[in-house]
Amino acid sequence: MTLLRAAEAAARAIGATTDEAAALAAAAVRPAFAGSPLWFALPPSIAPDADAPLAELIAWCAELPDVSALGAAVGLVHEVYAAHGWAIAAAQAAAGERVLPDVEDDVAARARARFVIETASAVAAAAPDLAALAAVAADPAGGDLVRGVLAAMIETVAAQPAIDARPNARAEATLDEVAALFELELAPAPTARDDSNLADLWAALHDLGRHAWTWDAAGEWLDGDPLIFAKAIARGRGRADVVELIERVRRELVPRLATAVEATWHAEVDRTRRAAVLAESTPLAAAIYELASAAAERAAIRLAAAARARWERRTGEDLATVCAELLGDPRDLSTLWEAHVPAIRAALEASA
Amino acid sequence: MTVEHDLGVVFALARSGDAIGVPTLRAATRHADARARLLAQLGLARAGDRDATIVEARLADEPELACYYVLAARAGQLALAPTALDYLAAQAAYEATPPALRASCTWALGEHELARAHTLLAGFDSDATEHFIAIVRARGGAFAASHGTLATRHADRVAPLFGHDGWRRA
Repeated sequence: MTLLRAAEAAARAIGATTDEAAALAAAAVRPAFAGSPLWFALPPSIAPDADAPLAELIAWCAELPDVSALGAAVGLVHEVYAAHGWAIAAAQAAAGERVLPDVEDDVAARARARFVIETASAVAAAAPDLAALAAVAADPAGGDLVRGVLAAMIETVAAQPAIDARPNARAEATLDEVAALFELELAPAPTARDDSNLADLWAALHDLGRHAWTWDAAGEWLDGDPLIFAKAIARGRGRADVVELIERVRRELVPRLATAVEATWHAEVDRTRRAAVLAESTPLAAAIYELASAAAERAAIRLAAAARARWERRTGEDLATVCAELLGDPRDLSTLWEAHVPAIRAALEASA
Repeated sequence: MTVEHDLGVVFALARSGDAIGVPTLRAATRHADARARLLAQLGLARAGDRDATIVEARLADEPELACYYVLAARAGQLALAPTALDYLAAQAAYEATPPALRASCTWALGEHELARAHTLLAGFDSDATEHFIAIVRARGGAFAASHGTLATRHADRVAPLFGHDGWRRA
């Protein structure tokens, strides 16, 4: 574990409670870094984009009002080190006069893969993001389930005995009955067509199942009510029994559809995680990533200590100065990476 | 407790129009008997209850036409969520809905989304339009200027149930 190890180190450095440590770790996760739409199901980081001008990053980092902000800063430092050139510059300094091959993309890819692996469980536990599932071209879940339920509903409604009722007359009679309770006399009820034929309903239900099943359609069933018109038809025809049937079926269907969507969500997150596990990188990229990861952990501890001193109004390192050093040139901060010099040199030798 | 007992209680509370009856009336909007549900909605309106969620929920699943007449009338008086308006629009759009209910749903929709109500109104036949005019004459609202003085053969059979000051209070 890499990012989360840095977050844990920061939590220890501020003497965080379990809840605070969890909040710090959650805030350290930067969903965009995963490179997968699925990760946007996690809350966005409150820290700036790592591509923002250095002065802007330092200015933001110098504030850190609370544990969540500290977590976001830890995530930012981790990303800057691993995927925005910091570790490459440190590795070049470690390599001395030997020029590093171009491994920047490899290091970033390794960092991204490690990030995906260690945050996949949090993404899987998040509420499924249907737009993200559509974006990764996941097969829309629940189409057969919904079509099957609609077909069964059509069959059930068709099997209902015809009711020789005059729905409108019955409704108007109910209004008259209630008016009489209030000792009111309403104007005479209008004569309206009375027809309890349900052919329109079958057509409406059939139409709902006719279209290609998409994630948007799944979303409409989960968050909306595609049976609005079917219920309006049954109600308009005076078939309260059928309105109740439709609503009952809908309420039973939605949790089953949610379960199917959740299964697809878990499968897609796991597929992304497995792809990250299988991603290969060169020994040099792996060594540079290890440098970045360890440096981020040390940086997190220093950042946390400075933040804690500020929060507790104690004497300590100035937070702004610490941020400027940690996000600045790695050659000015060799203590963060010098332990990795032998590993970098060995990997460089092996890749020659 | 029998249905008749429940009806008696709900009716007494509905007639009183007293806010003290609101919790009981809210519960009765889920009663198994359609008359009890109808009386409960009337009672809530008469008591000046402004809780839109009760109406929103029932617009989604109320099975009985008679209750929908009262729900549609209340829907024009309360600040409904946009999703609840879709139920009114669907009922108004379905041509086999009794014309008076189509008109009432369109009137209620017009209190929230005037353009949408205009679109529905454009599809009305003369009978439904006359029901709509009757409703506007009785209840006023967004169409009062355009339809409130037009002639009609029909009368709004729901507005009187809300009581003498039902519309003013709401």
